Amino acid sequence: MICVVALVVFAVLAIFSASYRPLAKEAFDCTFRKLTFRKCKTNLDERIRAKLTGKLIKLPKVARFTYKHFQVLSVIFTILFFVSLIYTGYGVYNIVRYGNCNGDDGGFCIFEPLSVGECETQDCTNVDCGCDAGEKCDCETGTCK
Amino acid sequence: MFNVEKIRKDFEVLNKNIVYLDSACMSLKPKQVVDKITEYYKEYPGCGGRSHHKISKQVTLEVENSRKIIKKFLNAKKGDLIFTKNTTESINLVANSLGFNKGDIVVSSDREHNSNLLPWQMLEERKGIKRKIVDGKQDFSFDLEDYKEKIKGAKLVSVVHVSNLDGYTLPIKEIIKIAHENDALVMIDGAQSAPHKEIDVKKLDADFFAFSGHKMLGPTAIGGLYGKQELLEKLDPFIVGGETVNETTYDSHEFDKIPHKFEAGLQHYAGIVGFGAATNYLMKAGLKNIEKHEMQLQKFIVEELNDSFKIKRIGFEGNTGIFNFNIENMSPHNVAMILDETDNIMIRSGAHCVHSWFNKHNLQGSARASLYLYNNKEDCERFIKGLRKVLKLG
Repeated sequence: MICVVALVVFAVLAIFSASYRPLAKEAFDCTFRKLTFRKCKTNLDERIRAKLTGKLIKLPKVARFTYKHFQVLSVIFTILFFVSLIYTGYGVYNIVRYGNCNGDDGGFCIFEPLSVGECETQDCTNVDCGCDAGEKCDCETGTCK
Repeated sequence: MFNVEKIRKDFEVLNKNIVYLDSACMSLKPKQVVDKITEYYKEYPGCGGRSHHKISKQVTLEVENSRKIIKKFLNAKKGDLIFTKNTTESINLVANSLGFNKGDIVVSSDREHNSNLLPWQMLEERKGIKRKIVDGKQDFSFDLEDYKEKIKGAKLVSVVHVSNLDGYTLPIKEIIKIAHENDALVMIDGAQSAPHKEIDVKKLDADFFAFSGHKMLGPTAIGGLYGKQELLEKLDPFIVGGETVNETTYDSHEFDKIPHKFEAGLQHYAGIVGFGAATNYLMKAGLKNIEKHEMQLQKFIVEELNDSFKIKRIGFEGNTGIFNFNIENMSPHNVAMILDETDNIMIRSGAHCVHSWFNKHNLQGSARASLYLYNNKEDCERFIKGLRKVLKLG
């Protein structure tokens, strides 16, 4: 299961670094085999399991739990991954459609650009506040004087 | 006097705080070997046995000196030594040159490396030879009684000397004696014995002895095949070309003398001189000392881990140098990867190229820690400590 997550993560990393390309290829092979109900031949999932357990071995109980329940954890991580992927897709759709990732409801949106007129820092400029020529930005209130 | 701490200083890679327990696959290289290889590339990087300039003469001299050292190592005064790529190529050379015909019988043990299995399987398919495999006993040792039955009418016995599976040493003297009584030739796969045991091909009365440089402190892609002179004379070269002939016309050729007749093409000169240096190093350390040292370390590991019921030893118990095991409810690959990740402990996992044996015993594979002259008690203690951590996971 973890191969699916690994595929996306390594595929993105592979765009920027050639060293991740063989891993991405392995993850793809593994995912394809899993999807066709065959055993993953590359042992990528086992390697991730061992690597993760190895990192946690200083915390024996956590390491043991991770090792023993790796498959379950993999499923949880994969579900979480897809859920977050769906939400991200929905957010992107909203921002394109409504200019806000929450859709019609509004509210805080991480993708939303800072509103014109609001100053984020004390070192604001007239452009940050959206001031016209001859006006001066009040960085405290974000208004133009 | 065998001094492991002094020996360790010759292996620079050990300064990286690693515990290297995979010598059955590949040994580390001492600086004397690395220096000798570098010497070739720096001082005399020419081709041997062809040109007549100083560099070429130096190469020829160094290559023949290496051959002399390795022959001394094997006590092979009467026979000759052919340089090959490795044990696999040596076995293939015999398989393809000895002149097998349909119905010829080749006897092997049930624990052969793929290198000593596939060449015979191919001959079975191509030429119709018959293969007979001697079963192991219940304790996984070689069954001499079964062997006595299967040797009848055989042309060749091709067996491993020391198994890379569990370090088990086959009763090679008896095997050879019985084979010769039945007019069969014997080829020994010495890939695991030459690095760890004193080899005397004369005393053993071996017809062929195949071995690899990379397992005995030497470089990769260099190995050897010892053969009795009269038998090598009868062999047809397996690979032919440059250096194998004295004379050619468009329609004929005249082969060179042994061993050159079998060493086709430009040779791996750097490898050969490095192999000679490695053999020298082993002889200086003393093969008996090395074997004794490995036995002591092996005994220490076995005694320390004896209390763990979760560890299941694989193969014959009472062997030397190799600790082959499985941990209950854990894949051997996971064991190896976790040891590597947590403590830089390097062991091998899988079927160790003896898939046939694992398939016979319905095992997926195993984890294998293999010792050599540069391992010390501290290595073993770290391995045991690491393994105890892994045991808690299962």
